[in-house]
Amino acid sequence: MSRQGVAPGAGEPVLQLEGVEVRFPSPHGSFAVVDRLSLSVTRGEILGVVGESGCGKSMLARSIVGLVPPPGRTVGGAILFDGVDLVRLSPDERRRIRGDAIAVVPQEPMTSLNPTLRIGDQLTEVLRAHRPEMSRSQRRARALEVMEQVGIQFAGQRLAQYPHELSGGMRQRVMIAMALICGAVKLLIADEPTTALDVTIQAQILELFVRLQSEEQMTVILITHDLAVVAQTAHRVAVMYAGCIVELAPVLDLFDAPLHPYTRGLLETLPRRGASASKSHLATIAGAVPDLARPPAGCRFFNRCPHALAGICDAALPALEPVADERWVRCHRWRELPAVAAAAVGAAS
Amino acid sequence: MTAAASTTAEVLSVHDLVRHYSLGGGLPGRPRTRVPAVDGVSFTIPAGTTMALVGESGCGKSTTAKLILQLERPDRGEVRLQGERVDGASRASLNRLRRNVQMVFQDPYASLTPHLRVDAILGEPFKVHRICKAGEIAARVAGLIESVGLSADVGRRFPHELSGGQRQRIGIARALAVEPALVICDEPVSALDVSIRSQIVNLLLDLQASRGLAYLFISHDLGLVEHMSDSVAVMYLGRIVETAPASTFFAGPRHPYSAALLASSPTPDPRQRGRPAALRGEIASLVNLPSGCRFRTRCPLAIARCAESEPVLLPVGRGHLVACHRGEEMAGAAALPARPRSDPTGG
Repeated sequence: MSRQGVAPGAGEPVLQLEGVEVRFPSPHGSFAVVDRLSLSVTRGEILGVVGESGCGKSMLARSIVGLVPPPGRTVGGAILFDGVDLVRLSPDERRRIRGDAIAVVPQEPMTSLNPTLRIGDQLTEVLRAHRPEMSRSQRRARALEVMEQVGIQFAGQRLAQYPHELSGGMRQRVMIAMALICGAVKLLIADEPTTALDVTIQAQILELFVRLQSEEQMTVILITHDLAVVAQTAHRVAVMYAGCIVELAPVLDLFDAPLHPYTRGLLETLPRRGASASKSHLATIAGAVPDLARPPAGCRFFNRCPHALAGICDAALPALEPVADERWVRCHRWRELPAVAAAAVGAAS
Repeated sequence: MTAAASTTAEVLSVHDLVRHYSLGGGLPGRPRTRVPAVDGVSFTIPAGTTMALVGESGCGKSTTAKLILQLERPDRGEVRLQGERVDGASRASLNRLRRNVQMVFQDPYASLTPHLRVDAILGEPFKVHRICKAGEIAARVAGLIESVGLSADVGRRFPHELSGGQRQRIGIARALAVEPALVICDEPVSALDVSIRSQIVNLLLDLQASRGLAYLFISHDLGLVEHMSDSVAVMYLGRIVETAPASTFFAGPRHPYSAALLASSPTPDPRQRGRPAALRGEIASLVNLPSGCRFRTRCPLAIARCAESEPVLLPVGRGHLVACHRGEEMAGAAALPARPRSDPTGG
């Protein structure tokens, strides 16, 4: 079991990011919210992207689909999707891919659905744009089919309803149905898809993602702040901090033996069911995220890292280097850091 | 009186709290319907302890908090503070209530006045409740800021100049100004980042230890609930369906809904996939409550009897009450069928 956590079909990349940079202008010059990020997403895997607010995980998703909100812009790098560089495509060409081969499921389904349009009209709008040859009745039939696929009961009635008549979980299923309706989606990007939902509904929606990935051989990028969500669904995990990936690993490796001090810190702060002594102090990560407008010269985690060494860690930004099969880490000191913390986390679970 | 047994060791006791909301009636011919947002809720919180109130959105947990604080008038039921009723309409009883029960809100930005500096925000409760002389307020505010682990210069800042964690510390400091016996925390850390969350949790624990505070802790994060709480009450569609000491509850909940909540709540451990089932379906509508047990439409264990009569809370163990016709048979989460989940090995 040396290759635990390797995604099915590992090896063949469906999406390759090479040095992707998303910048926003500011009065003191522009700053990067996604900083020269490289990442390969394997066909048929669920890749979890975790990080705290402002780490750039949502901007990364928006950059892939070409929807970085102005004045932000993807200024550099390549985003190869099935060999085609999305960054170089015209807006029209990108629109043809978005909603068809690459689809996005947003966090808050209520604000993403048009409150004045019936569910049926919103679903079939995607087909009117991408499949103009389909007739009205074909579109309706396809809508019913895809609604059934995502577990929406009484689909015929739902088509005539408005978003406010549906529950949060049902609205999120509609958003997923919308992503799937063209029938050609290869890459599904879900940005905090269950954050607004109750836990019992969250479990249903996560189960749906897992089923879609395994049945349809779909690739899913699941962006979340919730380590428990990635632990339950992802094959591989990318941990982001201040615009950079700091660790990339198969899910079991990451939770068993996190290498980056930030990943360790995150895992240690979580209360563990049945394990943490009641009312004891939880571990904390001191300090706050650095100001991206003035990024530090060295490691971005330097000011919060318990293992930081002046003269080394604050001198240069460490590279994301391969450390083992499928494992990458961005830390000057990963070799020296004892596995003590990791062992403690492992023992607690 | 029914609550004659309550002692001063109980900081708060709530008995048979009921609140109905009216819906509809806006159009001619459309009748108004009354929905029971909170329907006969009773519990007590001993001084210095934490009771967690858990349940899905719409189950009535936040309405219960509002009813305790008399931000909403209950239709029925009583709220007692250290044994004395405080739900009367009199100004004196409201004052007494609010000097003893305070609230910390989920969103620390929305709950701080944006155009006031922090020291003005924190000075407010001292003025409203005439706690000290005007000349002493500044010193008291400085003490509060320090007690929540912030440096004194924060007092000169506006809420928007603070980080989320700092804002939540101010929200906590404001609640502490009147030196309450009970603080109602409504999802106090769910809007915060993971690395900040544990700092606020530790602060709440420290304040409880140093000041003997009791908490009513409203949360959907069961990992946190287990860590923070002495007792747990689970709500479903306006009613408490199970209440127990936290250790008993987490060792083996006896209501199928509690078991499902525990099973659905994701654990940060990829080796624990494929755990017992999530629920099918969604929470029923308060407008159209099912007959009998309110949970039976989603319950994997429902039998004919569940549609006929509504179960009442009955003791099944020490301090452990369950409202379920099949509570006797429930041996915890293991009674629910397992369901397949994604395999972390990708196999």
